[in-house]
Amino acid sequence: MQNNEWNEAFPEVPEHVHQVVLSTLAGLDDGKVKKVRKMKKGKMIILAAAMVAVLGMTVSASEIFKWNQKAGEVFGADDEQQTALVMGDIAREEYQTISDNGLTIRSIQTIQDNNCFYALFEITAEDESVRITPDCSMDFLTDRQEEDNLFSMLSWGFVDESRQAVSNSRYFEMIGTKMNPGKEDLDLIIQFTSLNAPGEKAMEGEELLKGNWEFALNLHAAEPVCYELNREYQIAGCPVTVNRVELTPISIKLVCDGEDARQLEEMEGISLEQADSLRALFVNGIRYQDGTVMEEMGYQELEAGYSEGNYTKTARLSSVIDVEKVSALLVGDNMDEISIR
Amino acid sequence: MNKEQFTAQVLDAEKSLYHIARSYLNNEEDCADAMQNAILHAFEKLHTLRNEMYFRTWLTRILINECKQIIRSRKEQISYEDYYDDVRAVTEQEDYSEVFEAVMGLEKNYRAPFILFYVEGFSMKEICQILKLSQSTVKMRLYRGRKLLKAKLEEVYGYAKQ
Repeated sequence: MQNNEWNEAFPEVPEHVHQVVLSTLAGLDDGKVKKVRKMKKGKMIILAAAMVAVLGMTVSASEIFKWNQKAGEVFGADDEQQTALVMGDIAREEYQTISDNGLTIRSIQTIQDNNCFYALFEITAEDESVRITPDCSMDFLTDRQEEDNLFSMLSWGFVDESRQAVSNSRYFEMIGTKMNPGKEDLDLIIQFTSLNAPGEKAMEGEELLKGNWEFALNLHAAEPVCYELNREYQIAGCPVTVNRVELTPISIKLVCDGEDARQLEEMEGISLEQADSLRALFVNGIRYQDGTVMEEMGYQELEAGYSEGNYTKTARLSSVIDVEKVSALLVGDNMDEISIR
Repeated sequence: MNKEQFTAQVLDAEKSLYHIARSYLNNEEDCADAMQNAILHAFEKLHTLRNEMYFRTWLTRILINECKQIIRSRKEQISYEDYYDDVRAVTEQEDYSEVFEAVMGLEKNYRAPFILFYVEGFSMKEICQILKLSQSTVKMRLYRGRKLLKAKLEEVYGYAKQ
């Protein structure tokens, strides 16, 4: 056997070992050496019928912390933000590739915090005549039946044509929330079971390729920056006490006094028990310390409700924010200001 | 060598480091520990590397020391023999190639030289430096390892892979 053949017969670097190496390198500081926290071992599932290849990184140092271009576009993250989020273990490159029955699925990137996650996959049919359009769908299962559900999927699907031309290969995005937000890293098990042609209704498309593609993505619970405010603000003309704000680069948690939120509810003529949304507390923008305002266009509510005398709203942001530089949240149609400094 | 160059070189050697760690240690957690410690130690001692051309050899030597350190710490709980028996047991549980399993089934003295030479492409001189062994010892271990591996692969395939 030639040297390269021997090398191919040896296993690739497991993803969690690769993550330890990346974290260690990210934690190196000129002149100082510090031991960094290691990831928990992810559940690496290797199916007999599928080939799992965890690709090693062979990129130059300047590209190490760059995200996949698509993920960068989705979150509007520049190079500096991408680097910061990789070093903060909020963004991770994934290199798991599974091929089965003529379809290869590659996990590319995850971006996550203690509340939610985004996962990007690339799905490629070996047969180039197979056209994967944005209307195609993937059937998949998450978690394991014998375990409690750890995640709830909010949205998923192939990217639209404005973002990628139709071919035999297409990006597939998945956004979800953690059922029990917390500090623990969690393994997200995703088992894809088929690629389906577009159907008249969702879940009705003809099965194009069936197989087993199972991924175990270790999602790190990046801790938020917490601001204990306990201050009163004028929101939609009502006095509202905001007790706490928690920020990560991709999500926001707002904890308000429950009674005050009830007033807003009455004023808007809605019932949160009926799954309505409180518009006055929608985070529609961020003000940075230098006065710049970033309007939040793709706000997605993850969770909202009353608990222990408070009204809590958790939302995913469509663009990455620089947490350290945020001075205020701008809420509601009037962009009322909740100063956090 | 600056931090960026160090990072790039480590990532370039990552797969090789993993294979070498795996030849000494019986689980991935230990491999990750050894690799992390080796990276930190190497970065701390980077000023002692006289010629950057030998970075990979130097880092591999540090990694092997870290692997041995981990084995020593485990030795307090189990014997060397049991630890290496575990290597085989763990390997057999995973879905690895027969070639990898056969190499991992070699005695520990033959395994590292074999991986360094055949899998990672180190020269005889480099292996002698890494393992701190004479050339004749490395050659003898490679010869015996090859012979044992041939026998193992014949059992699996019914013939020896060349």
